[in-house]
Amino acid sequence: MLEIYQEKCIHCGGCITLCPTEALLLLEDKLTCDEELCLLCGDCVIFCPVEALELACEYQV
Amino acid sequence: MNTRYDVVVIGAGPAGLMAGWVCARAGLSVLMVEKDKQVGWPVNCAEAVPGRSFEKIIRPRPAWIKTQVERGRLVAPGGRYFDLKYHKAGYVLDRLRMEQDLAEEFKASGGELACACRAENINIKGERFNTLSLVTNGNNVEHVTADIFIAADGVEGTIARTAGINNRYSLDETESLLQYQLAGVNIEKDMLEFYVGNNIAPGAYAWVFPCGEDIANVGLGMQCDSNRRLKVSAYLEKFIKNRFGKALIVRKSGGTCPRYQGRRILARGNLLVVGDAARVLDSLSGAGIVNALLSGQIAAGAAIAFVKKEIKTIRELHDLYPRQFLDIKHHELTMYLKIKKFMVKLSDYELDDLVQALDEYFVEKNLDSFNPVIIILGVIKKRPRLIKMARHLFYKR
Repeated sequence: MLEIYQEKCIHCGGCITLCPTEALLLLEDKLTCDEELCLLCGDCVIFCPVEALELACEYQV
Repeated sequence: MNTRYDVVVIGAGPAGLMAGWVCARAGLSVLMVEKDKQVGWPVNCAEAVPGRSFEKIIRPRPAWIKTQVERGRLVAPGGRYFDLKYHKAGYVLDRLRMEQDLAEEFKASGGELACACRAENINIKGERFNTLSLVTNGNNVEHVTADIFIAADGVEGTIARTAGINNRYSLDETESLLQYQLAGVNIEKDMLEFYVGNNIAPGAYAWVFPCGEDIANVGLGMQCDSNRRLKVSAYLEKFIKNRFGKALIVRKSGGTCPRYQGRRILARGNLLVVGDAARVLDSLSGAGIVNALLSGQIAAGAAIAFVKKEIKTIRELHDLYPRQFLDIKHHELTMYLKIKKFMVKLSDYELDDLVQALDEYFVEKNLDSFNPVIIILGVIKKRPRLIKMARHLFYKR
């Protein structure tokens, strides 16, 4: 799943338009991700200049 | 908040504030909605503007200007540089102060500003957009109707998408930008510095913009690429270490610079899109403030004529905005986009060559203004091996 570190986010909005399924939403004071829509493509993670987004691995190998 | 206005402006950044202020001054009833709790925050911007074109649109107050710069320096990967000097080359702005002052002016002219109010989507009724749904206090949904909607919601551009305008961009058209405000650094107060090079800032450039005696906005842009291991912060920290040694970080900001996407995303029916939401940035340098203000101003003019019934149809509305704006800016924006696409492909060797050719050209001609086409032709005369640049720039589809 997509992990969002709210304290790192600078609310620039760059990831919102990048998201192919509009899963990301910037609310008044925080960034949210709709997990039903998220494809885990990771484009937002590559973009994020402050590393506030991360694809967390659910299963340990 | 009423339920009906002449004009509703979404977003209180430079573009929205300008549009709202012009409409309010003309006596229209205007509602401006801003997602954040206060106007001007967060500032994700390097805050430099070209002096003369900025002053053509708005007379800056002394408090808005952190520093006035008289020259720019472009540094090649090999360390060679080229300086360009002219009077009032640029200002480094205090954008927070500027936007707060503009918001005060807007309210003093009779406009209504609603902060902590997020526009969710815009609904169509018949042929025109009619109502805008707003979320206030986190979960309260309200609806407002208006004759004209002006979307100035910045890079996110959500409202334009709910209206069916595709202003999306993909990862390979995106840059990741990060900026630190540094204190205690050794800079020249009247100079903007730009650094290019594939090891410094792949696909873009690094900048040092002075904000005071020893304070500077130092940032770096990088082309997003899934194969690249290093993040933009690693590049920026390396750049700061090489340029300044040690420095104190006061503030971090960042964002992206969406490229110009052409005329199709600037308007739809009675929804006018301005500023970053309309992607009217200079794709090469990422400068967007002046274009944002100008697009806001022209869109406001169109809105006033429409509300006052001087024009009746949507077609006439679009002849005012975006047409009038594009007549001034389309050519320039397209040219910068083409130069950008070309610059991304240059090797460090070619960048060195380009900077050297620019230097020779400017010393010879003693120019004090920019016309990219003339400069490029001049540079190619100096360095015929850069001819592929010309082919790329002037090739028409």
